[in-house]
Amino acid sequence: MLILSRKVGEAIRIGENIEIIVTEISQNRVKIGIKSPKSIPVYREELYQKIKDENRQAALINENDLQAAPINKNYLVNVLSMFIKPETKTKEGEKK
Amino acid sequence: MKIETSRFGTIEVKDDSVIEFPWGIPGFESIKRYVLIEHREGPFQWLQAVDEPSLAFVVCLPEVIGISYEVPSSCLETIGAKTREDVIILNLISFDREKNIIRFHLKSPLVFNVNEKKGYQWTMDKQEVKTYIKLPEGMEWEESSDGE
Repeated sequence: MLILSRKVGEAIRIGENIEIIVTEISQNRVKIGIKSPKSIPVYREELYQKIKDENRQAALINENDLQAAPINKNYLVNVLSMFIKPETKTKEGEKK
Repeated sequence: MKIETSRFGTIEVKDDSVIEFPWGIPGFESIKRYVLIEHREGPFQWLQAVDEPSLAFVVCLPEVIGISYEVPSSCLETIGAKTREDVIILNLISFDREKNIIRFHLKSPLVFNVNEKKGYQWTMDKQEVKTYIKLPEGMEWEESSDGE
């Protein structure tokens, strides 16, 4: 691995159109700015790894799984409740 | 064109229905071309790899569970789209065999430029989730939840 030492405000250029700039350094965190073509997606590494694992999991799905998991309204409420909670206050005049 | 698939056999698809993922999909970076295939009457679709018969994902419109996305311009630009109307978003679906439930991968939606038939996977961190994912009315993010 290539290791370069940089100060705040200094940058690294990769190829013609990618520039990485050190904008702030504190005790255990470095802020970096990235100038790159908009068509190149930029990911945080740990997020990328997580998404990779989730995608591999998603690719294991087969047709039987979909039959086993019919979509209906109650079911959707269950799906949603796994990551969000309904507001405790109920709204009046809601459309039935 | 004809494509080989391990789930559906050999299928015929229109040449212009092929969607290019210039950066692949994380975990499957080398696979760049996909097609969408309807799954029965919906709401699911298969995202079948053109060059890898065994690779297919199940995808679904987030609207099916009442979710919508605010798409930032950086995300549109990645696939060369100018406005929100140029893109559609589909969520990957996975199946949890232990709990017998399906999961929508809300934090990493696939974004498609419908005009240029180009796609990529958008990923967001914890803070971004609340900014870009619009929940159904009457629901809010749980404070401690990280959006799983």
